Amino acid sequence: MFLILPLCAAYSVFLLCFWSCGVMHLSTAWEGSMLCGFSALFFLLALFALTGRPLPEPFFDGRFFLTLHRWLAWLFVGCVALHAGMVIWVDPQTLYDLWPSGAPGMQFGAAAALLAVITPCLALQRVRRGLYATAAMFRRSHALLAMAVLGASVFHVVATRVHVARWWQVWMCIGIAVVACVLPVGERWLLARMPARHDGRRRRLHTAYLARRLAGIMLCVGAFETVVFVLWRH
Amino acid sequence: MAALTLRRAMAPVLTVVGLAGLFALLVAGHRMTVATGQDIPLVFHHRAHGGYNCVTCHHDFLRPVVTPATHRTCIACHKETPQLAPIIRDQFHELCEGCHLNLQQQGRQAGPVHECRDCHARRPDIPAHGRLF
Repeated sequence: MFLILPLCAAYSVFLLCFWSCGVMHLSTAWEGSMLCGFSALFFLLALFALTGRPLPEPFFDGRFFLTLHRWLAWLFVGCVALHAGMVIWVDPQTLYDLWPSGAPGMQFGAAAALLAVITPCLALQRVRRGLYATAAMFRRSHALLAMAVLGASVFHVVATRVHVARWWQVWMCIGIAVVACVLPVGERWLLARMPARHDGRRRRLHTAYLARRLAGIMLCVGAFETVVFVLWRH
Repeated sequence: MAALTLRRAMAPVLTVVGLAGLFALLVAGHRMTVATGQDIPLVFHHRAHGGYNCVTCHHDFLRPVVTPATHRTCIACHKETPQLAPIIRDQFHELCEGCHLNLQQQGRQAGPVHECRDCHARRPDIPAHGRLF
């Protein structure tokens, strides 16, 4: 339940790009790039649901949730790199938008990409231990950076108006981003008030490999959907 | 105790300040340079738009306007008029992209909407004030 509901909400944003708004006359590279961008948004929203904190379901050890969070973060960074790389490769004119006079939507996208690289790098164990005195300090700083990435990403999606152009799509995007921002706090609040399990079961140990597999499955599903979408459009 | 609280608050505060600085830099940089910044070279196929009423795009067709522009092209006129220069990008995207999107939504044949290279040429010999074909 904890895993599925936020993921469904995140997935609904991903599905926005499948909503047919007439023929968009986009080339295969652009379609692929846009799908990579939406996959990145999906992985980013999933990161707000799977924050690394152990959840009641599945009843696995903390390593599972931490590994899943880490792998989803790298998948997010990979999708962002593919999204930006493909557009710049087929349309180098987009580099003009990196000048201060460029379109604000693209500039916020570039800022989001920059922060998307910085945030997981700051979370690397060696860097984290050197920079932050306590785990709480790291958590707050990491949460703020993540919210900045999400805010800038949603602004980029809405302002560029490639797929998200209708008012209900815009408000859905903003709404889901706001829910994602308060989700970790809400999750923590709910977990603190949930009764502890007394059936004698212990959390299953050594489940990091399951997290890696789950992240792999999510990547495969994303890649498969991208191919199906591009074939359907052409 | 107070020192510990201060130390704990330092990382989030520095993060907020850094993020605010980054976004303020983006917004301020954009505002300061949008009127004078680098333009993306543009190719406009005038003949392809021959079927449309001139006043659809040329608002000065029936009522000429005084312009400080040195080149008599749409972009040069808007670029060199101080009041219009900061919003030139939004205005032209709205005019071209908006019209193409409308046509698409009516199920009619329309020009490019999203891909930069369809309107913005890769050729470096095209001047910033555009070229008509």
